[in-house]
Amino acid sequence: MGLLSEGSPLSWEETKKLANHVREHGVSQFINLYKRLRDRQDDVLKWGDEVEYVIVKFDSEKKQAKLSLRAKEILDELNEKEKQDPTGVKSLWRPEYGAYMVEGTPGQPYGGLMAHFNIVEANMKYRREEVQKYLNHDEAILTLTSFPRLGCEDFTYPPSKPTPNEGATRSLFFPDDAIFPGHPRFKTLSQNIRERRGEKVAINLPIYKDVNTVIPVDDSYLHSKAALPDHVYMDAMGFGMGCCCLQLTFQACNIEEARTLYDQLTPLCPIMLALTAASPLHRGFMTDVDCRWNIISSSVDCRTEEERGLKPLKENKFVINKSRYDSIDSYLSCQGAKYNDVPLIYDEAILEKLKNNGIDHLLAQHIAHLFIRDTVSLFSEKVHQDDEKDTDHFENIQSTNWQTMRFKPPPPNSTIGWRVEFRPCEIQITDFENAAVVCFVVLLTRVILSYQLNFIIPISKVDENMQNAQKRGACLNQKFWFRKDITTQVSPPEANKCCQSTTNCDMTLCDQFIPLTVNEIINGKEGEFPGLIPLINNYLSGMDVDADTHCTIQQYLKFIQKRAAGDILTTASWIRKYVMSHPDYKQDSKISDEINYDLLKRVNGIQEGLISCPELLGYSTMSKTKESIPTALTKEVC
Amino acid sequence: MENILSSSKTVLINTGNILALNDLTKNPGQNPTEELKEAINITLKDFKNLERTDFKPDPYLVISRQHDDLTSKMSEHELADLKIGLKVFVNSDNEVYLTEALDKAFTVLNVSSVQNVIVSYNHLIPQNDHIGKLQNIWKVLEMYTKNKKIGQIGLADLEEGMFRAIYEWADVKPSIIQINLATCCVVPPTLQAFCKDNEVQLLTHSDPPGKDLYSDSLKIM
Repeated sequence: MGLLSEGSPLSWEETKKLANHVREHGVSQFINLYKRLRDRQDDVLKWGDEVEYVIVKFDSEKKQAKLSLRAKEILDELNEKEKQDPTGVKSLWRPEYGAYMVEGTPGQPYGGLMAHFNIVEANMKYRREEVQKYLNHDEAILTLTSFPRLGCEDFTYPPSKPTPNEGATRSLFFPDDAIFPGHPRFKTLSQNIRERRGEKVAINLPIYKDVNTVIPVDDSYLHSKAALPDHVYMDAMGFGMGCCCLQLTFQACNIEEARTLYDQLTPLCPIMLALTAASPLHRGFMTDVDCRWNIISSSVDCRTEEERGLKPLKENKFVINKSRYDSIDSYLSCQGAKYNDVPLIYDEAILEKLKNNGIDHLLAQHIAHLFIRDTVSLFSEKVHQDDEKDTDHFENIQSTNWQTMRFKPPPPNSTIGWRVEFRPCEIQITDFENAAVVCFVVLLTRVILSYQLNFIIPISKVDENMQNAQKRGACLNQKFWFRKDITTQVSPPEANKCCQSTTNCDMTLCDQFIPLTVNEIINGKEGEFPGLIPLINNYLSGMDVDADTHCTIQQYLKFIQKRAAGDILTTASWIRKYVMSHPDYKQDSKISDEINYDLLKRVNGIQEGLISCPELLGYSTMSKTKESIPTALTKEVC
Repeated sequence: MENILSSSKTVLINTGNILALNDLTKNPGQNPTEELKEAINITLKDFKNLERTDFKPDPYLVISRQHDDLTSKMSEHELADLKIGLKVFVNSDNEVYLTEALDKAFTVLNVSSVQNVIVSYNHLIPQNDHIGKLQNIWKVLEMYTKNKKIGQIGLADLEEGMFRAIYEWADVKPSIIQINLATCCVVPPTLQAFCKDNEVQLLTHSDPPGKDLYSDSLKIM
C-alpha cells in the first residue's frame, strides 16, 4: 500500500504542525533526485505483478466464512524465509491494510524475454501454495476484491468488535482489530485521515433494488447523518483499503518512455476496471456497482468540508475536487499536454520552485499537484532528513496519492530505473485470470511502444469513463470514450497539409473521440477501430515466440476476448448470478452467512481447479505455464 | 511506370518498415499474406507517385517507398542492442536465389550480420528428394554461419522426421524450428523432447504456407 517507514508514529496534532515541513522538504528532495536521475538511460524493460490475498476461515458446521486475522503470524514465517535468502526466494511478501490480508510479488522482476509471459501464472500458483503451507486446515487463501460480509457482525476470526467511540477508526462496523497490527502505519493513517477530515469517512453505495429489497436498507441513517437510507453506508478506511487488487509495475528505458507509458495507459484504466470488475457485494448487501474504486476513494478521503467545497475556505487553502485516491489529473508527455483539460490545483510557489530548478511544466505541475495533500502519516525518526540523499518526505506524499497510475522515480542508490505503476484492476478469482490480465497489459505496452500508438483522450473524458466503468454490468453495457485514430505516424505530405491549413489541426479527423463498448475496444469494430487484441496478435506474429509461451498467451488473449465480448461473465456478474440463484437468497439484496459461505467455498473450489466454471472462465483454461524458462530461450533477449 | 516495369526482368520490392504504415496498423486482423499484399500495394503506389522515369533497371529494378524510416529507426539504437532476424521463403534449392536474398537483405538493412535466419522451403510443384534439396539450402546457411554473418539458423514447417534427419546430417546444427501458431498447443511430445534435449528453440509463426504467399502476392504484379 505504500512506503513502510519504521519507527514511532507522531500524533495527528504533531503531524499537522509538520505538514509544511514535509511538503517543503519533499519538493526539495524531488528536485534533487530529478537532477541526479533525469538523464538516466538504457534501463531495460522489467515488470512485475502485485497480488493481494485474503485469508478466509470456513466453519462447515455453522456454514460461516470469516476473515482470519492471522496475516501477521503468516507473514512472519514468510518474511523469515526472505531474510535468510533475500535474493533466492521466488516470492516476496508484504503486509497490507487488513489484518487478514497479505500482498505477494514475484521474487525477481520479469524481463524482456517473451518466455517470461509463460512463468507468471506458475509463480502466482507458487505464491498461493507457499501461503497454504502456513494455513490451518479450515483456512483458505483467496483472491477476492471485496469480502462480501466485511463489516457485518462477527465477520472476523477471532471475533472482534467495532469501537464507535474510541480508537483509530471509530466505525459502527469495522473494528480496529481488523487493521494489520504488525506496523503502525495502517492505524495511524486511519486515525489521521479521520482527524484531518474532521469526521469519519463516508461511503454510500447505491443498493441493488431487488423485488423484496427494503428501503431504508438498515438503520445506519439513525446512527449517522452521513448515511443515505437507500444506500449501503460504510464509515471506515477498512472498507476501501481492506479490498484486494491487482497491480503492475513497469520499468521504462528512460524518463521519456516512462512518461509515454504513464499517459498511454491512463485511458486504458477505466477499460481495464470495467473488464476486471469483481466487487458487487459490500457489508452484506448486493450493491448497484461492480467495482471497488469509488469505495476506496471515499474510504481515504481526508478532505475537510472546506476542501470539499461545502464551506467557504478559511482554514484550508484549496477546494479540491477529488480524494487523494482517484484517477490521475494530468498527463506528463508532450503528446498528452493538450488533453489536460481539467484545471489543476497547486501552490504557485511550489510550481515556480520546481520550474526554477529546471523541471518542465508538465512534470512540475504533476508534482505540485501531488503536494497539495498534507502528510497523513509521519514517524518521529524521519522528521529531519538530508534532502540531498533522502527521499522519505517525497515518498511520504507520493505514496499517499493513490491514483490509477503512478509515476515513480528511481529509488536512491539502486539499479532500478524510472517506473510506472498500473493500478486500476480488480483481482480475479484464479491465477489463470490474473496472469491473463497481467500479460495482456504488458503486451499492450509493447504494442504501444512498437507501433507508437496514441490512446490519449481528454482527462475529463477519462474521468467520465472511470465513473461509467463502475456501474453494474459496465463491461457489457456501457460505452466509453475512446480515441478513433490511434496511429501517429504522419507521412510528410499529410503533415504539410496539416500545417498549411488555417483551422486548428487538433480538431481534424485524426482527433476524434468516439463511444465504444469494452468489446469494441478489445476486439475491434469493423471499419471504426482495430481492436487491442488484433493489434497484440499482429505484434506477436513478428516476434520470436516459443511454442509453449505462445500457446499460453493465446489462451490468455482468448479469455480476455470472451470476457470483453460477454461470452463469459465478469467476476462481478458471476458473483451476482451465484447469489441470485442461491436457495437462501430472498430477493432482498442481502448476503446471508450461508450465501457468503457457499459463495466463498465455490470461489475456493474454482481457484483450486476442483470445480470447473465455464461461464466464468470459458472452456480452455489450461495454459502451458511453467516455473522456469527453458535454457534454449535464455540465451537471447527479444 | 508501365514502361519501367515492362523493361525490367527482375524487380525487387522493399516495403521497408511496415510498422510505420498506418493503413496496416489500422487493420491488424489481416493474415500475413494480406498484409504483405497491402504493403506491396502501398509501396507500388508510392513508387508510381514519384513519376520518375530515370530508373535504371540494372541489375534489377528496386521499388521502395520514398519516406521509409527503416534505416533511420535502426540508427536510433546501437546495432549491438538490436536483434535482427530474417525469414526467407524460397521455392527452389538453387543457391543463387538464397544467396541473393540474404545479401540483398544485408544491404537493405545496412548490416554485416544478423542474429538468426529461418528458411521456409516450399516448392510450387511437389517434387522428389525434398531432403536433398533442403540439404542444398542448408549448406548455404552453414556457409554464412561459418563466416559469422548469421548467428543462428533454423527451418520452418518441417515435419519432425525431416527435421531430425537434417539435424543429424548437418554440420552446423539448426538452433530453431518454427511451427505454425495454429499447432503451438499440440506440439508432439517427441518433438518437444528433442528440442529440449538439443536446446533447439521451438518457435511459432503465423505465415500461411509458402506457396500461398507466393501466388497471392505475385498476382498483384
